[in-house]
Amino acid sequence: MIIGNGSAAFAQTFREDLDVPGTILIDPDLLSYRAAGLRRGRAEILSPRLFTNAARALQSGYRQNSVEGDPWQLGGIFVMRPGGDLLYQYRSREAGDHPDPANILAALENPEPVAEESLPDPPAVQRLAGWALGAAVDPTILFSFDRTGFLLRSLAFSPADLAVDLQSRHCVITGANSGIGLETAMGLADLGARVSLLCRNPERAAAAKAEIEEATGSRRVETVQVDMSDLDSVERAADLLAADPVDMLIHNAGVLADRLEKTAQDLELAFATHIAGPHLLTRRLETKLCDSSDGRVLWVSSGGMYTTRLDNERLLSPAEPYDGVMAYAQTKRAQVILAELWAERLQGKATVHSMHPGWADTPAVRSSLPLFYRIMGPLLRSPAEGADTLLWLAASEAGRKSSGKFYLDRIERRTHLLPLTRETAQDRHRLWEICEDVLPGRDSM
Amino acid sequence: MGLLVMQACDTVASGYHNNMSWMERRLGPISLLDDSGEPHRLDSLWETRPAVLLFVRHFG
Repeated sequence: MIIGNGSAAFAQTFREDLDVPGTILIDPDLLSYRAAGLRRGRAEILSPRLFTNAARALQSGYRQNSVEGDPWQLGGIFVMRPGGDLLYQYRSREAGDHPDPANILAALENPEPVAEESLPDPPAVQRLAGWALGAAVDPTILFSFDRTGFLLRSLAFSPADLAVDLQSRHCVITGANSGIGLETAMGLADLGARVSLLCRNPERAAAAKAEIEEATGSRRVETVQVDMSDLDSVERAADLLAADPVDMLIHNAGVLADRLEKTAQDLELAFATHIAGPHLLTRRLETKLCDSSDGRVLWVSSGGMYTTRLDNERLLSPAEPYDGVMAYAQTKRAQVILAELWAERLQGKATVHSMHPGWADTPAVRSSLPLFYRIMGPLLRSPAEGADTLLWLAASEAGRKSSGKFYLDRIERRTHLLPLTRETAQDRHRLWEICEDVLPGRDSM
Repeated sequence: MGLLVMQACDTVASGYHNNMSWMERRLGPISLLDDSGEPHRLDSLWETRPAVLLFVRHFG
């Protein structure tokens, strides 16, 4: 069957003009093209062989009519057999580049699955442009953290990084029913992982599970109810997870409160959600993560952490009047440091990183920062764009080449932009003490 | 216990999923309309027989 990049009307005309039998499908949004890793770009279309390929087509009797759809998208050919094995694949490298039909017929007549080649890297010029333009917007903050930064830096992304099979891996992710957590869980499930969605609201968790299953075809998505701010709830979730191996733990759950709230253990809400709860869960799953051949712990921080220095005592007793944005930034700064401390503790046994997703359009941003959302709306990243680096750290080989680093857009970043935000070794030690002290009797390790 | 039951069901149900190629997982769940407006889920195209997917640059 033929899949084309245009409308039904054009497809019908195409069928009539060329007397095409069989199924013709239309994909104007290029979903299947991207899923198949088909190339796209001006350099590929405007290659030196464009004219020779066009002349060859003219000579064979083909005449170019009016066209519709993305003119820079290239095509390809895939042969699939029942059961989902790939028997043949060809991705055009330039306009007019077609395989020998005899090779396709041979694949049909001698159907042995082929090794799936890795997806093509973007051209060197494109990668260089991505790096250069991404670096150019770094100092602006605005165009670095917003969608502009992601789109520029993504020019250098290698699709092959996420052409991985995670079928042997169990990934646990908190706050997974919406936004970046949901998109990350979706990506992990799409790569074959078993995914446990740790969510506070069971109805939203069930809806997220259904959405992931529908989108990916996965039947390995589970939900576990947990309130990450309530240490008793975290303990119960850890008990539920105790029966199975855990290869990946992603601390994504977050909160930005507009007034001081205390948890069941009398901890400030942001501290409990971002620090105490995740620390406890990591402690409880530590042995499993170390037993994994590729254990990873990832923390979703925020660019807001750049504005503040670690203040350990304020983590436990926020200043009055309560400032939810400051509490959020403080705990996000603490997350980055805690991730580094965990990386030291798990060195050689599991990989630990933190990251920030940039400024993304998520339900949390819309509800917690309505003014920011109104101003930034069109410039915000999509949740999938915000989740990209998290998914990359979780799934790619590149994500485990180091540990204890902080990332934005798949690039390792400094954790301080201002000298006054640097903490001392004593501050770091005290943070760990605080995390351990709020867990009396909860962990005998 | 609930997780153990779920895992057992998943192990049975995921047998097919575990044998899926990477391309099947990527393309299979996508649904596209044909030129008559009827939807087709891509993995239905190779459900009972081999399928040749010809991605053209554009119509015309």
